[in-house]
Amino acid sequence: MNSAQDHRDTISSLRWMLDNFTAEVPGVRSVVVVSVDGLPLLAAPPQSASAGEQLATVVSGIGGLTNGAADVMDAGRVKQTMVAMADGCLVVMQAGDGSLLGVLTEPDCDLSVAAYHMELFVGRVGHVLTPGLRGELTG
Amino acid sequence: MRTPVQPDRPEGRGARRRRGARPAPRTSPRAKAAYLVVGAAVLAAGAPALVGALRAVRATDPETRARAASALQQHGALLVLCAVLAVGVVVYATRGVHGDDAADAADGRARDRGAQAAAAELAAVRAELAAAKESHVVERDSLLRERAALAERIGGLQASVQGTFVGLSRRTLGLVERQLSFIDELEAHEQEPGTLETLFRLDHLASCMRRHSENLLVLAGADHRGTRRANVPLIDVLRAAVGEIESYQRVVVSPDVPQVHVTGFASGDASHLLAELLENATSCSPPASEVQLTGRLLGTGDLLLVVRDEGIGISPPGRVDDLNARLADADPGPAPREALGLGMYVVARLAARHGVGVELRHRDRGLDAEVRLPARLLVGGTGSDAEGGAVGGGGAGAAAGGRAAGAGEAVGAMGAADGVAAGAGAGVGAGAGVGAGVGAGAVGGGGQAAPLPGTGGADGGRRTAAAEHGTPPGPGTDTGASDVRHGGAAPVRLGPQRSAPPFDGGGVRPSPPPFASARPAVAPRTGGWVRAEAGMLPRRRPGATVVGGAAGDPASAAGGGLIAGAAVHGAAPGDAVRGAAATGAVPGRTVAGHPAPVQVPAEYAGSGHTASGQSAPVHVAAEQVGSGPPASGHAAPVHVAAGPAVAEHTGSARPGSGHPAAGHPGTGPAALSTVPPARAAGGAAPAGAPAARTLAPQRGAGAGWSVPHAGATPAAGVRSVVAVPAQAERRGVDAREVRRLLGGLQQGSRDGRRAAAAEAATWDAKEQGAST
Repeated sequence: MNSAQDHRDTISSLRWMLDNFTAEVPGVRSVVVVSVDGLPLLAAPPQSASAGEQLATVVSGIGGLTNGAADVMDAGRVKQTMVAMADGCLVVMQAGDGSLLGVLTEPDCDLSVAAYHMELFVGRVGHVLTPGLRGELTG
Repeated sequence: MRTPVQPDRPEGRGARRRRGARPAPRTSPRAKAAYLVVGAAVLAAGAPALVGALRAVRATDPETRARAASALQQHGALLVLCAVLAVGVVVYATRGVHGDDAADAADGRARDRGAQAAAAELAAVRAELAAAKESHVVERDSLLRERAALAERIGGLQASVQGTFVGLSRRTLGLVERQLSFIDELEAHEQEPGTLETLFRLDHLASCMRRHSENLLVLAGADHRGTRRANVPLIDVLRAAVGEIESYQRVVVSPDVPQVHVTGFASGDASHLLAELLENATSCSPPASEVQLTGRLLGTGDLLLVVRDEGIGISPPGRVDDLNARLADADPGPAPREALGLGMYVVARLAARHGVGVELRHRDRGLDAEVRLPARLLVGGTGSDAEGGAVGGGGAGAAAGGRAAGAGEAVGAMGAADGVAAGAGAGVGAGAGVGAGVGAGAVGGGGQAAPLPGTGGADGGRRTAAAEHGTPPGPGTDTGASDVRHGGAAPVRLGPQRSAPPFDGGGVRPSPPPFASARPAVAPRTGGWVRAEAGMLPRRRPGATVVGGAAGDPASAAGGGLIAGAAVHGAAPGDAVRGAAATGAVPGRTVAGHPAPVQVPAEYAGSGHTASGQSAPVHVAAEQVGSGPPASGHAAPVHVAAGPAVAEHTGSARPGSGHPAAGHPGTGPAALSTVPPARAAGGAAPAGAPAARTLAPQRGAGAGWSVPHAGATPAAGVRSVVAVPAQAERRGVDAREVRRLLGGLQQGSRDGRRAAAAEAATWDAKEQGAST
């Protein structure tokens, strides 16, 4: 099997895992995987290009800001970031090396469930989000 | 004199000791005697001279006397010297002898004393050790007693916990069984399609619950399913397994499974085991993919069943071996952590109970789970056919009641012509009306049936209303009208119902004919596979192949039109659900606003079709459109969320009022709280429902917003208006809320990290194990 095929397989696996994520966690509005430089890699449910980019930019911005803050404060890596809004929550988490996982939830979503599944997702797929795969996803 | 002697002694003793240490002999008594002899000899030598001198002194000659006197003096001096020497020698000798003895004696005494001291010391140590040992023994005994007590206590606790589990799950099982029979009863008397469809779904959910309760029993080591005497056809065991899982629509049962029966006592466990494997396969493979269930007889007489999925497989190949080892173990340790382990544990226990071999095999894509039923669990197909048929007839009567009977009549009438009536009738009766649809097709007349679905398939898999209705083409239409309803109803109902046979004997059916030969050209999409959800695949006798052919042809003519094909099978709903599931996943994931897949349910609903079977797909399909992956059993929100989603996708294609979900009490409002903001905000939902749901502006600040269900959607049809209570208290953020959120977040992520780390550790360990 060549690597392009591998990548495609991995990507489709990632897609449906992400879909499962939105399906399994009640109250999740959308899940995105973005690269740290702000490129949307995967999203569930799929969004229009502009909406996806918006969210990707927001997520990567939050990720960059908090990582920078953690560096300044010398307080280790950022575990997760939560933006609690009146009508929703945005949780950002580092997914592997150079990618971020962002989850937008309903206000009454049980964040412990969401965070559980996020960590599970990161633990499962974090290592496959390699630069090569990212290239495939964005390209 | 003392001073020189004192230093002497030690030296002398030391010297003797040193000499004694060497092999050279010490001053022996013989040497001492020699000293004495020397002394005596000296005396003896001096004495004659002295005597001679004394004689000379006595002589009268004064000169001689004078010489003698001087000689005497000399001799005397010599003699004295000799005497002194002799005395000295003697003294030395004797003293040496005595000194040696004394020293030896002192040495001996010292040695004795040392030995005594050592012995005493040893004795003391021994006593000490003995005491320590004694105390250790006591301690060990007490620890042993403690251990025994603890083990007993743990055993008691386990027994009580297990007893609790067993009791609890038995109670649950009892309730679920009652629920199932209650639902069956309701289904038998229910004519209203919408309600019937709801009942079918309840039925299926209850079947899933029953399986989970049984899992609990298996875990607790208890046996639930009583022994059944009647053997069960293999196909029914497979169907039961399929019916017990959530995503039963995705399972494709091979049409050419051997026509054997599984012994009654093993049938329940066999289907349960398969259900676990199927559940694992469906949950570990992409939502749109199929899981294939095949079976063949081996040369040894064993039966090999294979559950094949195209999912993620098992990542480090070494893990497969590990799982296989656990599966082969009659009593694998309690399942750790993962949910997968739980299912595997159940499989291992069930397999061990009947000597069934289960093995996982890694494939290029996905996983094969092979189940080997030993020959002794199988009974040849021919012998028990009659029995199966009889039971099937009875079961049909019990389970499907009047409806099935009606369907059976219809088919019976049709089949009467070529003497296959009995077989077909039994099949249909058992199949609870699925056969009716087929029968309708048959009435339509084999070849004639083909064209219409064929055209349905011709337009690229876009299902026409006619095809989807499962309305038998042409002449069959009018009979189909009534039959289709039954046929339509059946799959949904039977999906869950398939679990029945092995357990209550209600639905044991005659074994199926070789379908493969009956329909040479099945739709490519199905590729010679018979959809499981069409579970209800008509169970025809070999003699009834004409019927099969008739039904099969349209299907194949439908080409890619899976749904059309399915519909013509009379298994419409089942297949339609499947089709919708497959396509429904598409918009959910890749193509927002794709009209085609959603149109299926839309048309169903729009047409105001009352056939329960048709309303079912709408429902399920809608659900899946909304949720993306077709995980059924969803909570209310998704349920109705799908409604609007469908609406947006298809525009005015169909009135929402026709959608069963729209009138669904309770779920509607709940869903609206999640979906309609986009609409309320006037967002035209350019990106289709999911995007709108995600990013559309939130609802206005009005208290108690009332959203016209479709009001803001440009191409809205007739919709209901649903009001949702305001959630004003959500405004603003208070510290407690933030704390709650953060606490949940942290708790969840901690758990998640632990779970992920555990997974990774398992894989790493396996990888290491594989590499070494």
